[in-house]
Amino acid sequence: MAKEEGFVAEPGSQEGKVSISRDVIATIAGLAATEVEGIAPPKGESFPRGEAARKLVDVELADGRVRIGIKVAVVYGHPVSEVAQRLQEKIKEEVEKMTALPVDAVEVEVIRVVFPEEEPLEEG
Amino acid sequence: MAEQKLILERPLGRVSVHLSALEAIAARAVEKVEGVRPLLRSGGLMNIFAGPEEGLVVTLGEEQVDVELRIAVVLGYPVHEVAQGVQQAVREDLEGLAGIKVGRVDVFVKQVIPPQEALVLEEESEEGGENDG
Repeated sequence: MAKEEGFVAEPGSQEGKVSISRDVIATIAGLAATEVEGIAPPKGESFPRGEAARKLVDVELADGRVRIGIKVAVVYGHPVSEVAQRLQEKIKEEVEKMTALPVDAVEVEVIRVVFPEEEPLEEG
Repeated sequence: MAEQKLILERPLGRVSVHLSALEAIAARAVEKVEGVRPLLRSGGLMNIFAGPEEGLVVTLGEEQVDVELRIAVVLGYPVHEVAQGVQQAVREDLEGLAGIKVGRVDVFVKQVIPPQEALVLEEESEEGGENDG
């Protein structure tokens, strides 16, 4: 059977198989990232979804198992390696819950630090 | 050359931290120390908070980083204490705040600045959006 580009397939059963787009997995990973305190999107206000998510989230498939790479920013004041580990756990959990695909590794790349006062806030 | 990264191997996969991110944290630590100013150079300001080649350099060790800083001290402040304060602040913020292991923090005091010039600098840097809250 032809393998469709960009799709990650679950091992099929006799009734057919379910294929999940890499972009879907990337979007789930991005959404999971927004839920981790201390993690911010490197650019803009939110993690991109759909096709645009490819820029920040890299999804790899090997033997029915998923590896994810994600680029993020850490909010100043949060311990970098700790929030990165929390992010790894969160992404693994969310992707496995929503796709039923086993996640082997989540590689996190911290490309910058954002300072909270960069966001517009009202202060006297 | 690709941007240098601090690599931390973790059970769920690799965490890599760009050195520029750590430099931003270190620069913020320096700003907290009283009596320290960006270097002044003929032809204008050399801002130590502007970028890696300009006074604050983080280099890579094994699962840890080294920091090298060039600063100016405002005249009237005890140079040695200010420099030590900078060393301590940078180490505390990178280790305590960011959870990154720090090897050496080398501080080079390159200049002293008369207080009246330091005031001018302060105003300029405030225009640049610096705020002590």
